[in-house]
Amino acid sequence: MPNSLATLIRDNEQTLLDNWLTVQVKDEAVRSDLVGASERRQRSVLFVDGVRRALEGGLTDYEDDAWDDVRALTSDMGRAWSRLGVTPVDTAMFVLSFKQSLFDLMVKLISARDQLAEELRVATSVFDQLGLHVTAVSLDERDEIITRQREEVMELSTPVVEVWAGIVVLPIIGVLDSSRTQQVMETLLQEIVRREAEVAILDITGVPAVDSVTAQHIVKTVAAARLMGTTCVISGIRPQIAQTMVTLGVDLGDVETQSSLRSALSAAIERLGYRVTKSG
Amino acid sequence: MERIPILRLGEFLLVSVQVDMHDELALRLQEDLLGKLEETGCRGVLIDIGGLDVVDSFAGRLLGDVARMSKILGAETVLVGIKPEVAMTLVELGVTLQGIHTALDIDRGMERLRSLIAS
Repeated sequence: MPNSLATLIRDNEQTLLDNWLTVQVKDEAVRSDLVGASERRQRSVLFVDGVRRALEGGLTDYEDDAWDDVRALTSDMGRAWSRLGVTPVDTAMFVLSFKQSLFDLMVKLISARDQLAEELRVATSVFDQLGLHVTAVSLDERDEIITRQREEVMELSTPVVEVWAGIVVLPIIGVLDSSRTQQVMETLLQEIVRREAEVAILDITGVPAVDSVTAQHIVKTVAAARLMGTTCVISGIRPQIAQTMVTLGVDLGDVETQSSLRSALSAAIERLGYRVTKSG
Repeated sequence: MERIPILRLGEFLLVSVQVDMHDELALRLQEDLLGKLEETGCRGVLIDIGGLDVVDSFAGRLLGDVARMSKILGAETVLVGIKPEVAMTLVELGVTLQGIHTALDIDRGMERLRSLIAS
């Protein structure tokens, strides 16, 4: 049987909605430059409607299936708004602000003190959990966005350039950590196959520091390229980096190194049996 | 009995591994190849593993061993066609095959082999 909270909402749905919308505008719960008034309104209508239907199911326990619809609704909202740049706190505040309107209405219409207390307890528990739910969803969406962007940045940061027939250059910019190394290795090896490269130059001019871990990663990449029959040369080791490497005892093994990309390129050209001469 | 075929191509032996190399098969290849080397007196061996998606540490090490053994028998070995993912796995497994000649494909492998034997 539907509980009294459901009846209360059903009988006063329009008033409740209007109140809530007024509160939203007054509190500026959600930045109007991110979420338009019509979208906010539409979501509010859906939310109130969902809450009413859930309560009509006679279930006031948030864990019940009756709340699935409302949960889906708020999840959808949390994700959509997160993408628009609304903070998780603002999205949660939006959901929680509904409580205020609802409580105002309850205080006005429920006269019996005991009943009011009981209904308030139920409503508080449900909407607090909804608020937490929407926060969690928004945060998840943010995390996803961050992960995706990180992947995009990674892809952007590992271009392989064919500079000569059989010679590819991979300039590395930024810190070389293990996940990055994996990416670099994968891209480099695939490009070696695709372009049938015989020499690969790994230019680390843009790598701020080389510690033993980074060196280990470089050695691995070179070893993998060698297994495929390609000579891999490291270029762009700056004097300061060479100094720190020796001071720290970082070992690059028998990896071939060149100070600049220029010298690495001319050595590679020579290795392939070409000679570059000035014409005329 | 399952065997990996070894073809004679002039003064070279050509091995193209197309099926998954389990331990027993790999050991048999080692036996057969060394036997063939002795029999023919070939001076170069080309092993193509371009058909393999997976090479475990045993097979990886064994390929390195075969190359070293062939060297003792007076033949140079070039390993060709290692796929990127296989190369990465081998490196992660610590099998870097130091001192073993490698090439991108059979063409380049042959070229490499010729220059190795000529020198």
